[in-house]
Amino acid sequence: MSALTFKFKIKDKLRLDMSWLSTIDSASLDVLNKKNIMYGNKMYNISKLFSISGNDCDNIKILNSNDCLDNIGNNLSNKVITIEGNVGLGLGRGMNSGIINLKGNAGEGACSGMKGGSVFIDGNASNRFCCLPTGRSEGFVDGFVYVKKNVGSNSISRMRRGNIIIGGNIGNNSCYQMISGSVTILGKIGKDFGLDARRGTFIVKDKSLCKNYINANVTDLTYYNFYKSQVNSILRKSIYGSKEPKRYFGHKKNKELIELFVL
Amino acid sequence: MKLNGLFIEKTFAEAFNMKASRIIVTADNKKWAKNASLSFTGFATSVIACGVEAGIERELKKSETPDGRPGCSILLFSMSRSQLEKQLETRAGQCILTCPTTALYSGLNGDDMIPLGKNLKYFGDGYQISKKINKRRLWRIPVMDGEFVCEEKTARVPAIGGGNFLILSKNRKSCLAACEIAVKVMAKLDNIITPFPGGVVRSGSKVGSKYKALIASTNDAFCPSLKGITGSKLSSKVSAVMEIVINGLTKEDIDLAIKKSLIAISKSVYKKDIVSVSAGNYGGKLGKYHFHLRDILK
Repeated sequence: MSALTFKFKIKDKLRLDMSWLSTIDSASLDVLNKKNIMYGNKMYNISKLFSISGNDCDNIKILNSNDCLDNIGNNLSNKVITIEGNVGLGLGRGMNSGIINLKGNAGEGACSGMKGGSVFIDGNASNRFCCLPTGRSEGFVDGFVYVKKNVGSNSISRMRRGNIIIGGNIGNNSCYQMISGSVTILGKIGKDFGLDARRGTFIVKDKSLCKNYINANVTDLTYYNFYKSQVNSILRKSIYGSKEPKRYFGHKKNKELIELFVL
Repeated sequence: MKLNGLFIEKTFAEAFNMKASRIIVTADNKKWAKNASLSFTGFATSVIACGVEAGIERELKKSETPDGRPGCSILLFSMSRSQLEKQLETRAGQCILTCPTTALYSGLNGDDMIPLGKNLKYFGDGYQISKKINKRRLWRIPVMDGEFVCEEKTARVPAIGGGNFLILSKNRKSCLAACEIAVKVMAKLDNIITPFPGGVVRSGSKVGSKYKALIASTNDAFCPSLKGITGSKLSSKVSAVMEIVINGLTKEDIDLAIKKSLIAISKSVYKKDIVSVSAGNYGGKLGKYHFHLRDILK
């Protein structure tokens, strides 16, 4: 079996809802060529929009993608989706399990309400990354997300659990009302970071956060070393370096149990 | 059958179904990982009275542990799930949590999970932190030297307990030395433990007793001092018998342990004092697994 591959062949830039990708199974694969999709204000047969090849519906590839393809991996379960090019809104929104590999940039609201699985973004992620979906009380519920470059503003709100690694900078108003989980940011951090956070772990390089937290003065890095080895094994590369971080624990003002490792 | 001149009796060891789990204890250095592990595996020689049989499977290098510190892997065996759970939690709470610098991780993957740090977390009195990565959930409990990191669950797997062989020797010194050689060889093998003190048993038992309250009593057929009194299985040359009990995750693991041990003994200088190698069984009626010594050595 070869990966089920969709090569986008339209040059016009109209928004296209791709949430149907998550529901493809072996039964629907047989009638895939007859599927009609709304593109702009018209219905098109899928073959007008994509060149389709392959037959493994658990291993999907999207080639020639652009930032108008929305909702890829929406509520995804047990599939691997590899995307070459940028994507639009809501990548991996509400995802339950599976893997998304994006070789490009993600639009707004990527990974919002994610409940499990892994997302690897080779480029940048726009605003409201890992945010709170409408009508929900928890934002990022569980899973693993890696963004190689930068992340926009208003990202990671009401995070409940899981692990987010950001290789670059993060915008303003991020990690708002964090409930738990771990967030690594290797670049600069925007204004009003971690407002009203209750618990959770931040691993950062930006020293500007230190003033808000209580220096824990401990040398016990057992968990940090465990976490580091797990992240390194997932990403198959070392992102934290060998230097021992400084540990802070507890917010100076509200005494909430927030942990900060400064690399 | 003779193995390099060592006589192997035509008999078999009889072993039983058990449930096993593996945990990994790490600490800042080997000494404290060993201290915690020895404490954890103390009083865990036999399920007859200890609830669980446990031993250090092997010492682990920094590169082999989840947090990059030296450690030990420990195997625990029990007859029931509830007893395994109870002993695991009690011992982890009293022997690992209390030991400076230690952390505790699951050493097995599987579908049947039992609690490890799930209830120990309450020691944190609300300051404990839960972390989950790579499908592994850990609890971080603040303690006076930093924090105790403990995985929430570990797996329980089917296993075998009671694989054994007996060294029948002309004298006690050679008998013990031969056993020590066997235990040293087995210490290098994965997936097995020898739960008795130093890996050797001198009080082999039979099922039942003349006293109703006891479920096991001395194996008089192998006691040299009773040779002339009971239905002894010992020849006139034998004056000391010692047993090595092996618990393992699979039959193949125990087969390999017996084979390597007997080969090592047969190549040692103590071979000349050993009259024969035998094994303990109950006529083949109680245990599901039979380890025929001669078949293993073929």
